[in-house]
Parts: sequence; structure tokens; C-alpha cells
Amino acid sequence: MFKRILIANRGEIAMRILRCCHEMGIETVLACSKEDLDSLPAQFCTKCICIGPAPAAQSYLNENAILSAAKACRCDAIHPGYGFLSENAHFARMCEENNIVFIGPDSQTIRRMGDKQSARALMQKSGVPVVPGSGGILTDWHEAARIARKVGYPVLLKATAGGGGRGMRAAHNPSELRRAYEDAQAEAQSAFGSGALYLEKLIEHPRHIEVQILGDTRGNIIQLGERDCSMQRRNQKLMEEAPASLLSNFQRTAIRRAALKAARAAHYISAGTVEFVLDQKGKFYFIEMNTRIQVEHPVTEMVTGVDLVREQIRIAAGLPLSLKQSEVRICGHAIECRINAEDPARNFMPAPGEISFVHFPGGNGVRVESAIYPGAQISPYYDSMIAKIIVHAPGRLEAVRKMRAALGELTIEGVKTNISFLYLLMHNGDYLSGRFDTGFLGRQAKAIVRWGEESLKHRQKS
Amino acid sequence: MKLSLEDIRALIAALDGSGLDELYLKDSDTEISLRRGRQTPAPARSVELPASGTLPPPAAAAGAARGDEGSEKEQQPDGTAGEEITVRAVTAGVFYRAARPGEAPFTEVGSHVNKGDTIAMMEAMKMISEITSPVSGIVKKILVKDGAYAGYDDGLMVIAEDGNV
Repeated sequence: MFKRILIANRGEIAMRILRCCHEMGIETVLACSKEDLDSLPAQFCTKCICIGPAPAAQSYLNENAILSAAKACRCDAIHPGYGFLSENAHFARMCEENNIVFIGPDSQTIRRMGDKQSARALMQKSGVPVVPGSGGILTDWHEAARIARKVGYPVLLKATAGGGGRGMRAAHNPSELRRAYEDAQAEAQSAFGSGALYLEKLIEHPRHIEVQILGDTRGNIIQLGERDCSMQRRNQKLMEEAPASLLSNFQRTAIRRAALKAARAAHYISAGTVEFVLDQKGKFYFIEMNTRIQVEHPVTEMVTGVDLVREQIRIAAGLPLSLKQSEVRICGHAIECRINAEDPARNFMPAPGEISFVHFPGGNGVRVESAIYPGAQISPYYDSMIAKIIVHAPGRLEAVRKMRAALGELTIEGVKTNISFLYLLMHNGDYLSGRFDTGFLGRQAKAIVRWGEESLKHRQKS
Repeated sequence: MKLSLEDIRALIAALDGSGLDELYLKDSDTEISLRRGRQTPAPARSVELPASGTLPPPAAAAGAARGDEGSEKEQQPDGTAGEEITVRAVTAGVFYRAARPGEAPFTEVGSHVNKGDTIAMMEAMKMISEITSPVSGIVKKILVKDGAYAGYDDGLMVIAEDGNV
């Protein structure tokens, strides 16, 4: 087992990894930016190394600085968390070349799954349903138009080097196709360094269902159930749940089985997620595979009782999975809400600043993942997520009630947050009945904010 | 406030007699800025109290007002006080005092360096960064051992800047 792990990340996920390491008796070295020297993980790690200034490009994305820190501190392994370098095949390769274990899949798998079109092609070949679309990279917009005519509009032009909801343009009819193609290509080139595109039919009113995968170095691969992540705003998840209650048992089994097939086709090692989109007819299609631990991993941990970060570390150290597929049990229902430092009344504009007071909820079935404390500075250099509130209860309605109570108790002062917005969402009829797709918040967010403002006015009057 | 010529002369005298370089006054209708003329303008620094927490005696106020990053004020051999600059790591990496192992170090404590001279090197995964001196002056302290790892912005060397107070 590793003696010392370098954590190349920050905030709540750095705390999560740090806690797991300390539970396992592993020392932690935190590679952080100058901005994060006063952060919570910097206080609790065994050793803290400042690897660069605030901007991520010079710190958390600085491969040389991070690797040299790992070598100088004699770390056995690096945990990249999520985002930053977690899906950077080049960085994984550099770790391999320097005999430092990268906690995640090998660089080749990262590269293959990171190329969205080749991942799609692999799935197609392996019998995993994919969204109808192009068979490969598009040569030009004429080919795109031909394929679009065949699969039917609307269509999505997607960057093969993109992912996570970025680098996409929709075309709703033939007249929009050429413009969408050129725009997507230009954005992809500048954002990802490659203008290669593929085409998929645009699934309307989609649900986002993903399946958690674990694979070890002995070839054992298991799935730990699905998550419903359809509650999104601008392609960013706001809330996640496990299991996906909208699925019938038949659909659920089929999706889980397809995910396993996908992971096996990729010879997947470590923790990963297979993402699917569900159309209005209930058919599902492979979208992409995420080769990292994800933000929403706690909901799977709550319903399965499996510590995913611990499994990652064990797998990276060459140990087998802690359980067999037949031992995986999904119990109860879990919901996670992402707490962001943002102002819903101002179109969810990020609201950095200093936390003056914080009180977290607790109690039976309530879990908090956060790195904030009174006096903590929320930096404008990084994303605005400051905490995750996760609840676990025997059923979905009980989980909703528990989340309402938890959000009601959660108190954060000093910065604007989306706590009230989430609280209102937990009372929204469409949410409760499960009638929401990935476009729901785009359509309803303003109405929900207004509902909150009106009830506040009403209360102040009486 | 309304400033007469008398007032302005008084402000100039006050500035002159103090250790300050710049005086800036502003209210709703008046704004006045006075700056001491120097050959080599010192970079703006806020005043910092020495570690002991007490104000320095008036004689040393001249140097303290310039700000010396809280480090101990040292006198040059000829008695002229020099402003002390801490050279900081521009990257995280291994600190080297010479261009190659076995070669003579770029500089030693007590030697003089000119602004822009290479005084050290930092290396992170075969990427070399040169550390150059931001000022001309005497090397007072070398804070990191040759071959040791330094984090971003760690102090590497202290240089006492040349020039009159």
C-alpha cells in the first residue's frame, strides 16, 4: 500500500481524498496554489507544497510543478481528483515514466476515452447502443449535412476533443447546419486544440443517466448502479440522485448491463462512469465515458456502502476489488445538492468573497462534503461550488424531506449562495413527480427564483 | 480643505523631515500629491512592523518606512543602509546555485550582483527557470540549500540593494 500520496487538487475533493488517505494510514502531500495556502486541506494534510500562483494554468494544471513536488516529497502516487489533470493522458503518461502511480486508468485508456468519437466507435463495435450519427470524424460540412438528413434533425455537432457538455452546437434544420458546423469547429479548435467534429442526433428532452464502474488490475469489472443527473443548468449538474427512479426495472437492468459491456470493451481499470442519454421513448444511448472519480460519487457511496475513493487507491496499489458484482446491493435513495457561491437572482452569477459564518446540517443520513470554514476565502479563480449536501433515506420521498430539512438548517453567510433556490426546487411539483429533463432548469429557473421572491414578500407583508 | 502656499510649504517641510517618499492628500475638493525626487525610485512598499511588534526608533525609521519585508535591518560595511529585497521562487522546483553540478555557484554571500545577473536556477521536470537578480546589490543571505526543493514564492535569497537612502 502507498505510504504517501500527493493530492493534485483543491477544495472539497481534496478534503475527501485527504480523509480517505488518513483513514488508510497514508500520508498526504497537498500540491496547492498560493491562493489556497489557507484552505482547509492545506491545514490538515501531512505536508503542503505551494506549486504556483492562483491561476490554474500555472498551478493545478502545471504538470511539471506537480510532478516535481511529488518526486521531491517521495510520493508513491498522485490522486488527481476531478477536473484539472484528472483526464489528462499526457500527465498520466508523465507519471508512468517517472514511476509515480497515477490514481486512475492508464494513459492509453484516458486518451482513447478522451477522444469522444473513438470512444463512440468502440461502443458501436461492442454492441453498446450509441446515439445515431456519423460513423467517424466529419470531413466537411457537406458530409455533416448528408448524415443529418439521414438520421433526421435536430442534430448536434460535437468536438471529439471536448466533453462534459462543452464544444457542441445544435442545428435544428438544414439551413442551420453549415453555420453550426463552422462555429463548433472554431470553438473546438480554440478550446481543445482540435477542430475535429462528429455528429449525433440531438435527443430532445433527454434524461442524463450514468452508471458507476469499478475495475481492478485483475480484470474484475463491476457496476455500482446508476445515477440520475438530469437536473442541470447550462450543462452543469446541480443535483444528482441514486438510483434513477424514473427507470423501469427492465430499463435499469439494460442500462447497467450496457455500462458493464462498455467498461469491458475499454478494459477499464479504476473508477469511471459511463454516461447515457435517455430519450422520450425510454430508449438509451451511450454518450461518453468519464475516466475519473466524479463530483457526484457520494450518492453511489450512500446507496451501496462502497467507499469509491478507497477502492481507487486500492486498485492503484494493485489490490483486487473489495466486492464481487453479486455482493453489490442498492439500498434506499440518495440525493446530492451542489451548493454554489452564486446569485440566482442575477442569473446565477458567481459570487466570490469571504465566508463570515457557516453552519452545516447533520444527523441521521446527512453527509456534508466541503472545505469551507468561517473566514474562508472563496476565490474568483476557481469554480463556485463550495459544498455538497448529500442525504440518504429508505425512499425517494423521505430523502426529499431529509434534504429539505438539511437545506433549511444549512447556513452560509458572507457570500450569496443557491441554498434557497435548491430549497424551492425540493418543493417543485415537476421535480417531485420526476417530470424533468436536462432542459428543465433552463426553462424554469427564473420562475422558481420569482416564486421565492414572491413568497418572501408575502411573508414580510403578513 | 483649502491649501494656501504656506500650507503647501509646510507639507513639503513635513515630507522632507520624515522618512517618507510620498505624501498624498485628498478630500472632497482638493487633491495634492508630493513625491520625493530620487535618482533611482524605490518600488512602493507598505510599512511593516518588525517581528518584535514595536515601532523602530526614529534613527532607523528611514529604513523601516521603506519597508524591508519584515526581515532584520542590516548595515553595509561602510555604514550606508541598503534596502533588502527577498528574491522569490518563480516556480516550484529544485533550487540550484550553479549552472551544472560541480561548477562554481553563480554567487556567494557577500558578493555583489548587478540587476539582471543570473543568481540561481530552478528546475522542475527538466524545465529550467533562471532566477535573475531584480536589483544591483550585495547578497546578504541564501535561504535555500543547493539542490533542495522550494515551493512557489518561497524566499530564495536576500539582496541588499545598492544606492543611497
